[in-house]
Amino acid sequence: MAIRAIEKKKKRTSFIILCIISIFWLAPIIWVISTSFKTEIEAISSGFNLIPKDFTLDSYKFIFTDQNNNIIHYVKNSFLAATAHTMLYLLIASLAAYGYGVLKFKYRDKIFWALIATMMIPAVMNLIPLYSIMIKFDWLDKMQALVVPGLGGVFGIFLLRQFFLNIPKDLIESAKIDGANHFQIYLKIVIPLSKPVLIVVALFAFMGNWNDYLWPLIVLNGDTYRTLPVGLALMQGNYNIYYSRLMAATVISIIPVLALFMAAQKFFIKGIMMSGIKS
Amino acid sequence: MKKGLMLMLVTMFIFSLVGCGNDTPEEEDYLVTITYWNIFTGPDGEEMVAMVNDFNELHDGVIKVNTQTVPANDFYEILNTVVPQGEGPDVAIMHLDLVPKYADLGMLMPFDDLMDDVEMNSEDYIPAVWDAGVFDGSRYGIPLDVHPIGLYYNQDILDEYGVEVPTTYEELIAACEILTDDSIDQWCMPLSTVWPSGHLYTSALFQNGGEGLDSNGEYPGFNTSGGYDALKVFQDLIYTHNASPKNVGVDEDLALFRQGKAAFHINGIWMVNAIIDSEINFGTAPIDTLFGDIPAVWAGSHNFVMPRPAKVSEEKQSAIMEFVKYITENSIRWAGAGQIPANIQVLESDEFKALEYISTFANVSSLAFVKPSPYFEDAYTTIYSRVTEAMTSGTVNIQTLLDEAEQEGIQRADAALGR
Amino acid sequence: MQHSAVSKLKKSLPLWFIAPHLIIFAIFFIIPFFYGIVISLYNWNMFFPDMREFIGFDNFNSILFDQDSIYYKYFWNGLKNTLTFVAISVPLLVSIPMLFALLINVEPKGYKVFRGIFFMPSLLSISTLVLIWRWVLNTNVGILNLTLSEFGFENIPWLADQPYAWFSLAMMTVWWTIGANMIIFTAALKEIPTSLYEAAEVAGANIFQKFLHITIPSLKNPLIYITIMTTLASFNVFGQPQLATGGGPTETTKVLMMYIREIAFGGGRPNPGIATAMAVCLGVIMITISIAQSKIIKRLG
Repeated sequence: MAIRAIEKKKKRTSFIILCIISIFWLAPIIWVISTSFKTEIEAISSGFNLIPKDFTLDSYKFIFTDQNNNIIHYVKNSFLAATAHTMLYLLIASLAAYGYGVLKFKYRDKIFWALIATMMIPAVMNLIPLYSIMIKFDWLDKMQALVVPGLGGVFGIFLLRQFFLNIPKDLIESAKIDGANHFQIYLKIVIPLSKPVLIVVALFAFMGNWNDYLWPLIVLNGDTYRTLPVGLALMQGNYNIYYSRLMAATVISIIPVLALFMAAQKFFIKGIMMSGIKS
Repeated sequence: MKKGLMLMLVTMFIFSLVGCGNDTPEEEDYLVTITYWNIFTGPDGEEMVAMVNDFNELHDGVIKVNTQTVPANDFYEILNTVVPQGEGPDVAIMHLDLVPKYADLGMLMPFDDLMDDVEMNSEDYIPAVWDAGVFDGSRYGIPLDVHPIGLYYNQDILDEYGVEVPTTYEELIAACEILTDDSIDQWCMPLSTVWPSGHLYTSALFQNGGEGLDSNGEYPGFNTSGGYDALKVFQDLIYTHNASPKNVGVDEDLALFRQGKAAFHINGIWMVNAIIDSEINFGTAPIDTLFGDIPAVWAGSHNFVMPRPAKVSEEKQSAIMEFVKYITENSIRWAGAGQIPANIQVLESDEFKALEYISTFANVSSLAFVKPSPYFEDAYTTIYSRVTEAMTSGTVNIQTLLDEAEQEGIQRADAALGR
Repeated sequence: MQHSAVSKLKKSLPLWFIAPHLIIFAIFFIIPFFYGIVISLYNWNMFFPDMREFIGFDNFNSILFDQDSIYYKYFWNGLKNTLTFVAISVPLLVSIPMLFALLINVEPKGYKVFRGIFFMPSLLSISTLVLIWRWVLNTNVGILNLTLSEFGFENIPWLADQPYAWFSLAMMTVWWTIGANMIIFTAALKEIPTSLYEAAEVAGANIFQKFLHITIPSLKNPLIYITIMTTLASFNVFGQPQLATGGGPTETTKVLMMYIREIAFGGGRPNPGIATAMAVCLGVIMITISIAQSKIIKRLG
């Protein structure tokens, strides 16, 4: 009885503290949304008003019609690059993970752990030579530069292999007896079983590509393939004194991510747990 | 289902490689096509595009200018990448300060032999800016405009306190005694400690008889008594004369003026439309003797340059000249976007004189440009961060700052000179 | 005959699975890695191969020891700033998520919603993050200063003056990145058997003793993982200072990554050899620190 009461009190205290923190956590975003619906003159007037006095959509209208910073174009570019990258990575990483997790060959584990060890090497060391390689391939300012180099990533293979290792051996053996080859086993048994972990790997790949700032900043020259993070950073320079427009652009950039999060929250959380509990 | 996935994957990839269909117009219809990169975003970007469209209409079927906007932040980085590969534009806009550097790096082509064809005369342009486009005896830049900094004043505040627009440092200090009032959050002249404080310093430097670079144009030249007095001005304005709140960030000075909390604001002429938008009752005035006795004010200039391409035909060269001449001579629209035309005929036209705020912004005769040098960026701009330091601390030693900036400028110039 | 063909195919089978990745990995990881070491030994011109000049360890000498070189100044100032950021942010990025995880682990009403709220910012891109926070921290009209002024505080220049600039960068980094660490801690906390706590309660332990003697030791593995990953991520810091402070005030927040990018790709005078040498030094430091950290934490555990 006493323990129950203590438990209850604990829950209530925790609830109150979390509520207070949440207000602080959400305040920046609420402030941004509020500003985006204000007139420019109200946006720069001091005074603590969260609800716009003259509610207006002018900033959004401006953003959507601005020829110099076409935010929809940036969103489209980011989406294309991230989707292409994710699809290809799923294919390549799941094949490799099948190799390291299901097949048996000489030096298998040695090669795998050598790959994992390279994760220690900081990406910054490769940045400049990678750029040189882009020049050699004539990939500067091309979509390939955004999609392909990241496909060498090892982390997704690691997650997938750990999952594949736990697939019951009997399933694979009995398929073999039925005359299936490894490509068939991969396609018909392993992949369908691994949907949750594939989604997790896809989310990581997608978000990593979607949010990358430094690499697209370096390899893209023009507006043609400019991605959302780089385009937004440019807007910060171009609209620097039109706060309501900047905040409208910010809100637009939040929406796709928020939608993805709402749709796949449980996979994000699962994925992070998988990555963290290991090692 | 798996097949569907694969199909989707492949189409996705192909789609992404092909890109999202930036169709190029059929260029065979024109004799000459020119690629033109400009760095103008916002309202001046729109004016520039309109001017290019006018030109294209005028030369329909003969010359076609394809313009691309590359934001200024990225412009030089991109230029460094594309020009050495022979993929640069045919003509581009560059800041005057940097023209000698890119000429020295061999990335630009001279205009000299081409100017006679289109009867382009030096007398048609503001002499100071025209002369600054020459490096090593050759002309690499043709000025489109000059953009000085100047004073914006809030008419209502001045009327209320009965203060005149100051033209000297003494008058400015006297005005600040009256105008700054902490109790109602009103300030005489908020000063951003960062951008564009460097340009304010450069103006003060010239006004106090200082120089940006040494006589060879290789090393810093600002560590003199003039350079000292100029730097002291900004420390004093904030910490002795209470002209500005402390630690004002970029564009926060502008924000205070737009809110009506500042009597004066110094900024570039390019800000004029942003200030008009704020519906403040304001006027403009030159600042050419505001910090010292010698009339001078920093001004930048957008210049046309020709990046060195792999190969250019003669028709293309004359088409480029035709285009440059047309834009500079028709730059009155451009002035409306917040710039002073470099072409004297435009400058003296009635249309320009009728432009409110812009025609009163500066005395053209006192516009000053740093000596053309490939090492301007390396040797001079080190002072900018020291201006910030002087403006963020009332106690920091001015001479120490100058010494540090000079030393760093020498080191950077040495690295650039390969010494 | 047929038998040997089949066995050959069987032998080469694993290659079909791992080769696509290995090829890409080699081209975009292994080759750049060694190529980078080569570049750092050259006076490197990105575009004109005939202008490249082998200079041995001169680049390293310039940045590490040559006090007259501007690159020496850049490297050490950048490193100092990066280390400052690591020193400020890592403790916060480990302790705050742990605190949040402890609160959430109690499972009060709607704890999943709270978890979602705290996690959501980590999905935003760096540009969005900085746009949000620059507006929140705006000196004149930002919500933070407006709120503080309600309580009679003066306007604080959050990004234009020290020590506020570091505080602001740390604050936005915490807001942005604690989500993942929090979830890892929450998962690890769930694994701790309640019997341990009950036993401690019987022995009369208070809440702090329980935290110190049960919770912390049980979290050893995730703690090692999180500390190392967070440290490495913090060494790579670039976007926050690049976009929020521009390295200011007076280059006190200009971190090494900003110098590396500027020297390699900036609009000034690119010097990829120097920049690569800096990157190699940074890489070596990061590897050393992460190895040392894991050793130290293991010994403590």
